[in-house]
Order: sequence, then structure tokens, then C-alpha cells
Amino acid sequence: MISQGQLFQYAQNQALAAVFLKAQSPAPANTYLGLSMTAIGALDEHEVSMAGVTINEYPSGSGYARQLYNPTSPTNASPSQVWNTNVITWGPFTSGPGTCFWALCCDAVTGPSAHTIAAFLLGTSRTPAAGDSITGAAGTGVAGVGFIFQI
Amino acid sequence: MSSELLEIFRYSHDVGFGEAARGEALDDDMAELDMPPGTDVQVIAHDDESGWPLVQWADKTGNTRITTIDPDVFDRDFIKVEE
Repeated sequence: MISQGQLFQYAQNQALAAVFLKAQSPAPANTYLGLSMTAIGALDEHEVSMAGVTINEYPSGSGYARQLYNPTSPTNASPSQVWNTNVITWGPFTSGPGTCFWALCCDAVTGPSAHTIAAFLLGTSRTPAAGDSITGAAGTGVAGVGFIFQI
Repeated sequence: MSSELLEIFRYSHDVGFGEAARGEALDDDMAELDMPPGTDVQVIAHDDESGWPLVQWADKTGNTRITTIDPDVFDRDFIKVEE
């Protein structure tokens, strides 16, 4: 099972292939943060796409959509880090979509075929009602602030 | 995706998008995050499963947001902005 700030299998494979010069990295493109209703401890790091059985993304028929992650460039440090540069807000929801526990980074704005990249455990679970929005803070590079990832 | 090629639509309801969905006024925090009347949006894609349009817009703080819109609501409350 996956833990906070961990890469999914797809991203682990992509990273190793790139740094050991076995394959060229994908071209620069947007990445997105979706919201998952999967309980803590039940998200499988072997998922390679948003179609995975343990992903449980919010339904789009609620005003929900994945949001731009727009991370910083990796810091020149060890461990190297990236984090979101802006506040990230989902909604407004037009109906209650359920309770979310995770933000999941993936490589497409919509669709189950989007590759899963990383998982971020939310500080507190959220259960928005119709009209509500969910906000995640902008990162600062400090642990616990925003959606920060390090490797 | 080139934003120059995307048509602009304006949210034309008389209350915010979230407020209209709830059917009553939102508290101050949620009202600040709502899509207010007069907001310009661009349709950047359609949801792969539902077919609903995904619109991109900027909220009151200037942050870029993406929201799915019920097609019936979109046709009723979002008016194309003529160039």
C-alpha cells in the first residue's frame, strides 16, 4: 500500500528509465491533481492509471475536475523536492461527491487512462456539500505545506 | 493546447455557480471561492466518461480553476462572448 508522497509504479519506472539513460523522458507537459475517496491504507502503489480499482476518484458529475499541479522545478538539493506554486482549489461542487482522503497526481486532465504519478495524503479528510470548494495551500518547500514531494 | 483558439463563455446566472447549485447563500469562505456572475470561462476539454464540458476560469484570487459543468446548465447559464 502506498504512503504519503510516494511515487506510483508507473512513475517509479519512468524515473529510473530516465536517470539511468534507458529511455528519454516524456516531453514537458501539465500534470494534474485529482481527489480520491480511497481509505488510508487501501491505495495500491502498483496502480498505473486512474482506472485502477483502488483509485476511487471523485465523479465528474458533481462539478469536480482535476486541477493543474504546476510544480516547481526540482530543487538542487538532496533530497530533491518539488511542490505546488499556487493554491489549488476544486469545485464549486454541484452535489456532494463523498469524502476524499488523497490527492493523486496524474498526467491528464480527464480520463481513466491518465497515468498515476504520486499520492498525497490530505491533512484532513474532506466531505464537501453542494456549493462548497476544497482548497489546498500553495507549497513553500516546508514539509506539511502544500503538495510537496521529495526523492 | 492554444488558448487563442478556445471560445470564451460568460457565466450569466444572477448568483454564483456554487450558490445556484446549493439553492441558498454560501458562507463567506465558500462564497469567496465561488464562481461569481460575469466570470469568463474557456472549454478546455470534455470529460472522458460523462462528456460534460471542463471549463477553465480564474477565481477572485487569480488562481486557475477547472470545473465540470452539467451540459444543460452550460447551455442555459453560459453565453458565448463575441469577439
